[in-house]
Amino acid sequence: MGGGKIWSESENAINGAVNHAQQVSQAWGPLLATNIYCKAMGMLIDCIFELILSHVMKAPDISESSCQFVNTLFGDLLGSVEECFPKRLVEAQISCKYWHKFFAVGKFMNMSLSEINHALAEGFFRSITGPELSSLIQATFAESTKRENVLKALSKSDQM
Amino acid sequence: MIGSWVNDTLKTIASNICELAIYPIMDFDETKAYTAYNSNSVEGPSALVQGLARKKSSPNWKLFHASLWTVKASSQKTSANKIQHLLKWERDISSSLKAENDYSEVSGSSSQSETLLAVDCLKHIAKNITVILEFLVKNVLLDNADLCSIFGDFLFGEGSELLPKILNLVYEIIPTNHSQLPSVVSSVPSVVLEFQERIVQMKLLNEKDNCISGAIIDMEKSYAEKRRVNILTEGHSILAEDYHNSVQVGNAPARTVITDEIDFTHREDPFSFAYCSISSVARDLLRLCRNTLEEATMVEIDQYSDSETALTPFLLFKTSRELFDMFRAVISSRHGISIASIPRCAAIFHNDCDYIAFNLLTLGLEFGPKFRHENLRRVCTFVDMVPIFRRLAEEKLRDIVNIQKGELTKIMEDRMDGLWHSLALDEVSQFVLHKDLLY
Repeated sequence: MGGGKIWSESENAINGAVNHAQQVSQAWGPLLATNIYCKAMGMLIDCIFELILSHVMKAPDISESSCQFVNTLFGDLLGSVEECFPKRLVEAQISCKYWHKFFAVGKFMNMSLSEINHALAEGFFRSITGPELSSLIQATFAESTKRENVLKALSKSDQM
Repeated sequence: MIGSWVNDTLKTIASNICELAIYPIMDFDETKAYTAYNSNSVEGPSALVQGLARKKSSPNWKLFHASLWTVKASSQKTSANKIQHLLKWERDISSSLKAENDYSEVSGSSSQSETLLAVDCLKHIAKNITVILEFLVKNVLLDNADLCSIFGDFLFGEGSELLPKILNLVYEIIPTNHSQLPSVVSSVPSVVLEFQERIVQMKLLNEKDNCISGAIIDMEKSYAEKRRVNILTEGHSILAEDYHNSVQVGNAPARTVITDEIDFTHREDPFSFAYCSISSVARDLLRLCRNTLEEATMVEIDQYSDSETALTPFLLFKTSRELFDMFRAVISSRHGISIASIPRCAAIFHNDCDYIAFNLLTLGLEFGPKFRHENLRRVCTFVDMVPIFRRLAEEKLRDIVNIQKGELTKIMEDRMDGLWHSLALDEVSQFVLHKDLLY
């Protein structure tokens, strides 16, 4: 199967999962108390995030076009699942354990090495572990002095 | 010595007289009764059924219908100058209608009169049974003490159905309202004792045998048990209702405003129940529990306080707790599959358990001080049941969330199998081409 076909199949699978979560949200929304509802929905959405993240994190090599695909896919997905929460983004961020990690990985896909370095200094990747971020950088960027510098900075911050 | 054939004969007579005469007049079953005995009736069964249909107000209790029968014993000379003994039992339609009319008037006036009517009915039934037994003792057993004793043993001894049926009638007279209990306690024992005395006089029962009057010793206990059964039956019928009907409870939340700032002016009351939907079953069951507790606190125990009869409020309190146990048992068994697989059902059940737990926290504090019995004031609590319901709520919601997580994984896992590997390929999908980057 070609990469494009797998991407589109994956996109369909994710859409199917989001639709399913939205159906559950429609059933629970009018019944459960808001805090319980947000917790339960957060767990379901986290399940989707976790599965997608596991695929992206274990990729040994990520092409530029794949980065764009992942970036768009993640952005779309965040927008769709945000609608499941009554207070949208505010509650979604609180209720989903992997929300920020998912957001950060999505954004990472559209960043240059210097932007990553800057974001690292600002703590933007606080929800991603050092080894995870290192492997993402290695998968996304070709070997260069700049990449080595970022990886070194990352390992230093890990040791601290 | 009485031969075994005499025993067998007496046993057959006892069995036949019960089956043919006594049971039909005690257990009112118009079809059965009139098929077997319509030769004795003054009107056919259809007329009776019409008569009963006309009188919608006639009570549905066995005691009342059983009292509408009349038993007559007579002796007459036949043409051959022989004496013929006759025992007739019939349900006179005119007296039946009169009784039903009387009942209508009584039931319209007060429950006290209803109780008195019930006592009258019991007297009438006791009289009918006495007439039948006197007839047999006099004309069949010829007043022979030995025969009477054996015959009495077949009627009232172990394995006999007559005694439970008589006790059942006495049980039926026990009111469901505690205010009527004193009038029953004051009148029923005399009726039962008189009946037992007549049976003893006929030598069907030993003087020391109090198997019949035993029923009246614990009238208050019987009352409490009857109330318990009634309440649990009512609770069970509530639980059998449609579990999908929901009602909203809790404080309605203020209009949702999407903002990043915390609004301190619209904070929800931390002690009030969160706004959500529960099943009408849980609401009704809780209402029944409150009514039961209310009834338990209203019971006048002063007149019984020295005896164990003060157990009515105890038993009612226990019953109110049993209602919650019944909720857990019945709903889990009736709707267990739906709760485990349908998100809506699971959510309703979770809310029901949470709502019940929330109410159980304060139910004891609300009703405890109202009890007149000091022990009850101390033990009236439901707090011990709170963790059970909370745990149940959590368990069921967690189970359904796990099931839904499984569903999501199933939807995604197989179809995304090669994604991690395909990310290395430099193919641009249609997806990327027609979409702008979001951020």
